[in-house]
Formats: sequence, structure tokens, C-alpha cells
Amino acid sequence: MLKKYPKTGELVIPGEKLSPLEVFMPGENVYVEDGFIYAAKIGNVLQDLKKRKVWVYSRTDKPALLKPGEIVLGQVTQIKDKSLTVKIFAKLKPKKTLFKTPFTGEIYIANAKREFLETMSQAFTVGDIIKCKVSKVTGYLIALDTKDPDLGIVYSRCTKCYIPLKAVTIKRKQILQCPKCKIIYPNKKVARDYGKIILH
Amino acid sequence: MNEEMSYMLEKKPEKLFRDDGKRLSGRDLFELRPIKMKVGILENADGSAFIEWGKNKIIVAVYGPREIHPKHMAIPTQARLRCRYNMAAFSTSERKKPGPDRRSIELSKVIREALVPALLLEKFPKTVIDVFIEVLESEGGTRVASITAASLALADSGLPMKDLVTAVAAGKIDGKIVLDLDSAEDMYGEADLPIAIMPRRKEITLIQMDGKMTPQELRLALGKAIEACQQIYEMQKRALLERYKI
Repeated sequence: MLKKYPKTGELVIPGEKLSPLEVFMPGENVYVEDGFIYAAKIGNVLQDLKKRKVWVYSRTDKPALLKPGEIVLGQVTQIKDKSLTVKIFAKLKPKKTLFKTPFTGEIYIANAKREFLETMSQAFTVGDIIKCKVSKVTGYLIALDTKDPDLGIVYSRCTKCYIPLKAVTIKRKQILQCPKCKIIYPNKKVARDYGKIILH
Repeated sequence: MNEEMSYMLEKKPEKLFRDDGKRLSGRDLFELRPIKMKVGILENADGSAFIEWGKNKIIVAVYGPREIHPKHMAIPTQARLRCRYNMAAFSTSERKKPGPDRRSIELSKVIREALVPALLLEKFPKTVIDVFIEVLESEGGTRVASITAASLALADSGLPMKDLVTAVAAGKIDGKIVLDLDSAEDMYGEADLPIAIMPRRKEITLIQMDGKMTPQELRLALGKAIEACQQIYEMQKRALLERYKI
């Protein structure tokens, strides 16, 4: 009876009937209707005969959406007292992806740094490029997190002379300093790999 | 469709059938124009498709799901589908004034409503999916060609879909039911019946009629259009598999 349904590895298009619901459990990229499992995306059918599961393996990583736990790159666009807004333009982990249209994320002050912060403007400046982790996604609201030492600012400019800042280590602590006017920014949340991120 | 067509033919033909019983374009009653489809032609779009249907040439680009602006437009339970049908100024024989007009706004709405039932929009709440349809050359029946190409572009963009959408127009010219009307037949014929269906699910997502038909004629036209949709569906399938085969 199963012979008329596509086998493992076969390329299917949306709407193709994969199996009756009694035979397999629905996995990813499929939908269930009237007791049958149908493909919802273009891709290869995969059947797990041990777990009795069928799903479609999509060949592309489209649509590019964010999931909790992913590491992203964004630019600070607005700073409020207790939160800041980030324009997310790229994903670093699990796979490097540049977004065609940016997403908007938000960092709450409690999730910005392990140490106490009075206001967000102590740790970030508008225009900073930051590396952060997605902690929660609800529709277009994306909550971000920079608590981890790996996360934080990866590129910043001096607020006075607009020159890219350099990271200097003072008392085992990474601190940003302007190479021209020598101003020190002691409270910035700097990522470990400051200035080392290459997108391409 | 008359606004568009008025540019194309200056004179009304005396008859819409030749002496040998074929149509002016040389086709039989239920013969489609040659159709070519290509998927994934635009680098920067999430999904794209190009269709050449007779002399119609249409490019469709899909972007999204992405953030919606203004944000009050967001639907809390599902994604919003936005469609823009646009005819290039050079798409007709007489220059068309660029920009949206009454006709293209209506067609955008109609195409959107034909595509929505095929999409699983509830998977992406509070976001937007944009579909841009650019008509580069037109020869009647652009709405059905647009729907066919748009469903290919949506499938290429990786959005979960219930089925593809296929569309074709039937009609009545000089008292005979025909398939896939071109501009002259559309303009001087008696009736036009564009339909869009989801071929596997056998559901109609768009049906419009302009002109008059008897119930028997309507039944025949509908039956023939659905048959033709199955043919076009096979072409759509081939175009998609061509793009994704190893």
C-alpha cells in the first residue's frame, strides 16, 4: 500500500501526499490534513522507520528566521534608560547569513552585563556593532542577551573623534580606547573577539 | 482588462475565428499558448520566478517573512501577505502611465486573495510576506500568469505551502467556449472567466467572470479550465524540480 507514496530521498513539492497518519508521525516541513501527511516545502522526503517519522529535508535555509540560542550581529540604533534597540543584520551561528531585511531586537538592562549597570548608555553607544544571543522570539519582538563574556561590542567608534576604538587590556580587563585622543571607555560591554569579526 | 487591451489593438477584427475554424492566433479552441517557467532568477529576493505565457512576460519576487512597517499592520496570529501587481510603462504597445492605477490595485487584491489559501501563514505571526509582480510585456491574461508565477516564487522562497496555485482563463468568443484568451479575444469576446485552483486539493481560490454565459457554457468552460490547470501544474512542477534537482 505504501508503494504509491514517495520514498526516502525523493524530491517532493508542496502538497505532495507523503503517507497516511497511521503509518508515520509528522516531522518537520509537513502538514497534516484529513488523516494524511503532506509536504509543505520543496525538499527530499526522509523516513525514519525506527521512530516511524516522516519529514521533508529542505535544501535551502530559507526563510531566514531567528531562533532562541542563535548568535547574531547587530547595530545599536536607540538607547533608552533600561533597554536598547538593535538592528540585527546577520547571523553568525549556526551558519553565517546576511539578512536581506534587518530584524529589530531588544536588550533589557538585566540581560546586558553581569555587573551592575545604572543605565544602558554606560555600556553601549548608538552605532556600536554588537554580537548577541537570541533569548526569546515572539513575532517580531526579539529579546537579546549579551551577558556572556564572548558577547558584546565588536566594533565601536570614539564619540569625540569618530575613529574606530581599539581594545587594550588593563588589569586583565578589556577596555576600549581611542587611538587618537586616548579617551578610555571603562564600562563598555566588550566582546572577547573585539575587532576580529569577519563577515565574508 | 479593457484598459490595458485598448492600447494593443487599434482595430476590431471582423471575425475572431479563421475560415479553417481555428482562432486568429492559429490555436484550437482548447489550446493554450506556449508557456515557459523559470524559478530562482533573482539573486537578492528570497524567492523568484519568471513566466513567459504567449507574449506575456512576468517577473515575480517574494521577500519575507520580514518585519512589518507600520507595526500596527501586524496580525497577531498570522503573517500578512502583501501583493503588488505592477505593469511596466513599456509593457503595452502604447506607453502606460507608470504607477498604481485602479486596475492594478484591484488585480493586486485579487491575486493576494488567490494565493492566501495555499499558504500556512499562521507559522509566522506578526510578520509580512511581500510579493512583487512586474509585468514586462502583456498580451491578455496577465492575472492568471501572475498567479501561476507568484505561487512558484512563494514555493522557491521556502515558505510552507499547502499546494501550488495554478490559474488559467476560459472564455466565450463568437458563441464558442475557448481556453486561454489573448488580448483580442478578451477585448472583443463575449465572456472571460479567469480561475485559479489548487490542483491537488481541487479547491478554487479565484473565480471571476466578465460577460455572459449560459449555465451549460459555464460548466463546460469551468471543466476545460480545470483540465488546463492540471497541464499547467505539471509545468510548474517541472520548473520547480529543475531548480532543486541535484
